[in-house]
Amino acid sequence: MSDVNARNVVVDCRDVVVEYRLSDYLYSGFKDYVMRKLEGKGKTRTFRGLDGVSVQLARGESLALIGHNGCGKSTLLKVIAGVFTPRHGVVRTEGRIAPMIELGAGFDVELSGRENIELSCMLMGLTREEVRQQTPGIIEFADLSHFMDSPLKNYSSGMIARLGFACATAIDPDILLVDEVLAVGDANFGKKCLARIESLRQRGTSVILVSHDMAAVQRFCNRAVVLEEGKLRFEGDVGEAIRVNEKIMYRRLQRQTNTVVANQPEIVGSAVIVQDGARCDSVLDVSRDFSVELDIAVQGRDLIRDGVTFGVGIFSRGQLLAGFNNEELGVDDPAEILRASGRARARFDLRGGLPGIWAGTLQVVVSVNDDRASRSLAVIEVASLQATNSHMGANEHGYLISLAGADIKFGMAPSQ
Amino acid sequence: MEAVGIKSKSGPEVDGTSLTGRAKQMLSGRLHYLDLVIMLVRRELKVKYRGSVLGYVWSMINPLLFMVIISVVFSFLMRGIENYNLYVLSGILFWNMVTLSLSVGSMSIVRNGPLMMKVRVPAWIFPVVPAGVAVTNFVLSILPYTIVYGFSGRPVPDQVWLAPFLFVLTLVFLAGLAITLSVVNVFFRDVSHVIDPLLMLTFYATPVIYDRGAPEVPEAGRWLLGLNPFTHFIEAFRAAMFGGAYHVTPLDMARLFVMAVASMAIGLWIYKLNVKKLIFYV
Repeated sequence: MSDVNARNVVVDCRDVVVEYRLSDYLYSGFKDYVMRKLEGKGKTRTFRGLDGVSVQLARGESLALIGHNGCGKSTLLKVIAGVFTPRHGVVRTEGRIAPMIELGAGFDVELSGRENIELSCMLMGLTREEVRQQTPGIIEFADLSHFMDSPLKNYSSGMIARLGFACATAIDPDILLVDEVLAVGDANFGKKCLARIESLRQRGTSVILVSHDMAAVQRFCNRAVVLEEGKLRFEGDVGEAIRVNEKIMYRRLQRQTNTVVANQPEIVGSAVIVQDGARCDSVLDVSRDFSVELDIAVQGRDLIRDGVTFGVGIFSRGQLLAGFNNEELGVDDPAEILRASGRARARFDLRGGLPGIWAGTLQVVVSVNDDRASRSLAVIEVASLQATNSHMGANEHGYLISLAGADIKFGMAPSQ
Repeated sequence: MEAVGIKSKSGPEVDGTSLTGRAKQMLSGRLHYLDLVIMLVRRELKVKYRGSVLGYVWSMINPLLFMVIISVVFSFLMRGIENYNLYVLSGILFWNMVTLSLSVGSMSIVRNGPLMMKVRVPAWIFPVVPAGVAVTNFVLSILPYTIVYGFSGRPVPDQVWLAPFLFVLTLVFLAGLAITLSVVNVFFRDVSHVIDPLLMLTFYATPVIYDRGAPEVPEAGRWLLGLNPFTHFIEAFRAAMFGGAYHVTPLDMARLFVMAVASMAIGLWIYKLNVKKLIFYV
């Protein structure tokens, strides 16, 4: 305890274990009840949402929790918020916590905005007197002064989110827990929210941010924790954490597809990105023509089912930005050719590049599926490269997840 | 590693290490929960009557309507009871309080599960709120009761001064029962199905619309009714609100006190045993 105080730690989790049961209810009927009683205890299947995680957060620090879906990020946030009690381990927190696990937690749609401010703030631990003091500021920040006396059911979802954010930050928290909630409201309000969090941080509020938006993580946090399947995989520098997370994402993608299934043909193949007639391995200008070329060979070609698709996925920092396949482009099934010759060559031509993707780091991955994309045969890593975009300034970078305006052509070349 | 719960302070300004500091901190925490319960009770009442012209007046009119119906239907059966309409009204007011707190209360933790996922709130608050709502309702309906009482020309009951104590004891008794039921309901949803028929059975097994001492009730029946805790509560309320042959002895009050404390103790004990598991089952 003493060393914790000395280092000004506001959140201290040690060896935290959280177990979920895999069924929703304790019993699913009388028969189930009798069976469980006969079989005895310990039969409930559990799943470790968090498995021995230790994390500390110092005053004024902002920490990002990143990882794949279901890795335990939100569970950890709920443990810190005091919603979940860990099965094992200790959680200590110091000061007032504003849990933004969902904006407007506890709001009652029948009540007016003003009444909901009282409700929400008191649920988060404010006294009635403090609520009275904070209310004008909340109304002003949420910019809803004309609507304060009408019931919440007449509000738009954006208005409710604004009010929720205003309440959560008005309690002047020592610890702010944010779970993917910043993507609400219009752009203006988004900016206002970020400015508010920034000013709280300057006053010494510690922030924990759960997000899939790596740009936000990089902008906001000075430390990051990477979780995988409930275990802590990395803790430290944000950039390094993002790279670790990318590797995990990629590994998981491969594991999903490489699970050996009986009667599955084996794919050996390669793919490259070509621009200006040369293979691209490090830098790609996404604003100009390029193509992705595949050379796929099959062992056990009789096992190929109809409906083969070749897909291209473009990832950045573990997030899928864009994906397309030959089926979407309305091109014939390559299954025929693969079965006949055991080999297929194909290429995707992207004329004018990918206008929606700006500069940054990209991974390009090719996937081969059959049985109308219900069975994945292989994922082949094509390249990990730095994208540039001649339409953009040197310091601009970012991504737009849109293929609108892209001109993609797919072509097959029968192999010898 | 030992299983240890969450340790947290309500605010950094309170010194949690010294004994007085800790006491102050505990007290402020408890007081905050009391504040929270009061606010949630107000919320329930507001939402309940929102949009109706008469609003709160409904909680006064409603029992009167029941009184009219029941006294018309049963008056020929209960010829032995003087001012049967008042007798019934006092019973209905009490029984409304029981049903309101237990039928809503038993489902309250499950119903508030989504909220418990987002904010740290102790789950016992949720079953206590309906009990608070029910008692408030009862207090509100004292006014029409007094008016009807005034018209009847009955003398003011000797033990009317007991009423506030009875309110407190009933609130504690019902809140304890509601906590137990709502925790059990989290693990066995069967509770929410059985609660309404059970309340109906208890309604007839409690002297709400009849008198335990009536000649029609056999000796064995009287003894059985005595096993029902609600019988003792309602008879005490009759002494405070109706008078007549009803009288509360100090022993009766002691019995009510023990039942209230036992109900709350059992409720909190069951709650404490299960509090860590609740969130994973709601």
